[in-house]
Amino acid sequence: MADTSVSYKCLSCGAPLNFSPRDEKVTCEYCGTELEVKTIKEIYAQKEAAAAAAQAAKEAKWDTAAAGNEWEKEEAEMMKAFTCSSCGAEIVCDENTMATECCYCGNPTMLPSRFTGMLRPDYIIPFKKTKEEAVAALKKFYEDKPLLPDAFTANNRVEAIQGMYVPFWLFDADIDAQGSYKASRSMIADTGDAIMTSTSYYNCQRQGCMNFERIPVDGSIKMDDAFMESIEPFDYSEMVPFETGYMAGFLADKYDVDAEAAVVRADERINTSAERCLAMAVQGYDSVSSENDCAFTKKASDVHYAMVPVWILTTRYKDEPYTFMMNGQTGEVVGSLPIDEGKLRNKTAIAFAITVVVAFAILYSIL
Amino acid sequence: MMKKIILLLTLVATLLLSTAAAWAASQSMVDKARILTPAQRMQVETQLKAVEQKYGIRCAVVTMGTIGNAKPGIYANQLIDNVFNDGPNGNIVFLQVIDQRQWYISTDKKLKDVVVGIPGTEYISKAAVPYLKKGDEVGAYKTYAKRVDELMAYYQKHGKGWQPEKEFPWIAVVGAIIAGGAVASSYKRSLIAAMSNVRKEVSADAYLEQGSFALEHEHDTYLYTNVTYTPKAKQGHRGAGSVSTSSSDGGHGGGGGGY
Repeated sequence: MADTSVSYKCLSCGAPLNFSPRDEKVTCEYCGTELEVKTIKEIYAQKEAAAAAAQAAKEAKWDTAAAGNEWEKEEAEMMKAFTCSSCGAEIVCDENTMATECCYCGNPTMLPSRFTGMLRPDYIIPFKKTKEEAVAALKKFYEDKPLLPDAFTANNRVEAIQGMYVPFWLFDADIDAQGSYKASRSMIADTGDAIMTSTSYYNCQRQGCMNFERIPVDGSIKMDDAFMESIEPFDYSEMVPFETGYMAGFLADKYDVDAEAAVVRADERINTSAERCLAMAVQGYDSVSSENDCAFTKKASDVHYAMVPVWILTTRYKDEPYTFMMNGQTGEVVGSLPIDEGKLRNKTAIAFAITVVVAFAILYSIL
Repeated sequence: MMKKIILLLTLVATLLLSTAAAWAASQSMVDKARILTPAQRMQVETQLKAVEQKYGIRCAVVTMGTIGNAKPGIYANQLIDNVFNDGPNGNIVFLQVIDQRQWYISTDKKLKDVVVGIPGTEYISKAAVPYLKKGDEVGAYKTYAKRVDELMAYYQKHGKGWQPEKEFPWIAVVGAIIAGGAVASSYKRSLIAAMSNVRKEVSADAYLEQGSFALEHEHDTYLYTNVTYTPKAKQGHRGAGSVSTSSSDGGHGGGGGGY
């Protein structure tokens, strides 16, 4: 039976290959052989096609009843089995996995059936930051955090670190937007025994056009949208056409939020930006506030499917997991740290005491 | 220019006083405005003399129909320097200027320690001036004499001039606590916020193509106008007898105001 997955192995020694962000090459950690991404593509294109065909044949015969009664039908649809081309073990992963590691032999494994046809990404931003750089960046992230418990830094060990290509939709849009604003202009005059303030209000209609390029929207349900938006922006100048070679040694999921669903989030962000742009065109007034009726129409739009690099780091404190994510290209680290309630209480009390003393001294001298 | 005006006014005041030097050789109640009857003058004079003899000071009252354009403060200081200057333990004068409806209490350097600053002056004026407002001049002058008596007694007993006791500063305490709470609360929020940088992006500003925005249409419509009037804080309305002007200097104390 043909393999349903493809392992990227060294052509010289047969050891697993990994994409090295530093050299931008696929390297063998055992014998040092370096291969260009393009070379890998050519060598494994045929193997990937065969593996995809084998998986298609296997799925055609998928029978949940034959798999036993342990899995519910829905679960069986979610879980898919692949054969590791290195050790022959059966790898079970969810329906979105595009690249993973064999849990038995650790071999980097591609699942070609997951990136064919419409599922194939248009672009990929290769990893630029290494695992070591991710760990160092996380430690730097801890520094100078005033409320971090001492035990967290003293006993902290990164429990898990995983590089992952996350599916993103990139939206281009040329839009026409219009909105109305309430603006005011004030005039102050001294009438002798009183100060007169005259404020005139206006309704200001503005309409304009603007272009947005590659607004990213997370295409994975598993990844927290707030985390994914916090690691923005990515440098698109380093984005390249999709090649599977870049995924060697990293996890990768295909999208499970389709473009139709993702466009809602992109539209929200476009609307906010359009409203701000139009507000800046309301000039000559003392105050401007939106009437919250901004709307836009797309004159032209495009959407691309891209894989972006993210390091996921997990640590544990008091039995609670803490997850941090790092932009695998720019090195931006995001996450939420635990808070030492004692430190918070002390610092707040000191701030309160100092302010009371200073404020009392000022008020006592004035009153 | 200002110095010249003050010099001129001082000269005018001195001229007026030089013609009147004689009237005050022994009298302490000098009614140049002729607003008191002889009996009333005697009544006030008696009370002023009693205070003067008790403490060895000169305690005078002067009424003037007009002092021209001179300032009551400067005029009263001149009275202390040139007329009522024979009190062994100090001199004090209460000047009332009828046409200006102004009063002024001036002391020499010695009595500055007895009638201490504006609070000391107001201790006398806030009791006496309300009588002036009612047209009861005799009541005002007698109250003035009584208050000078009280201040002198206090000075002799305590060795220092009377000063109002400061109330517990409740407003400052409450204000400081409110300010402390607001700052501490804001600081606490900023500390907590510093522990997480996970935030959703609200806009797509970073992906707006630079220079792509073009305004295509604008239309402004006038809606309405709101006019508000905020009254100005009025000066000199802290109650009858409050000190609103002072010509005190190194050699004189006191203050004055309108009635």
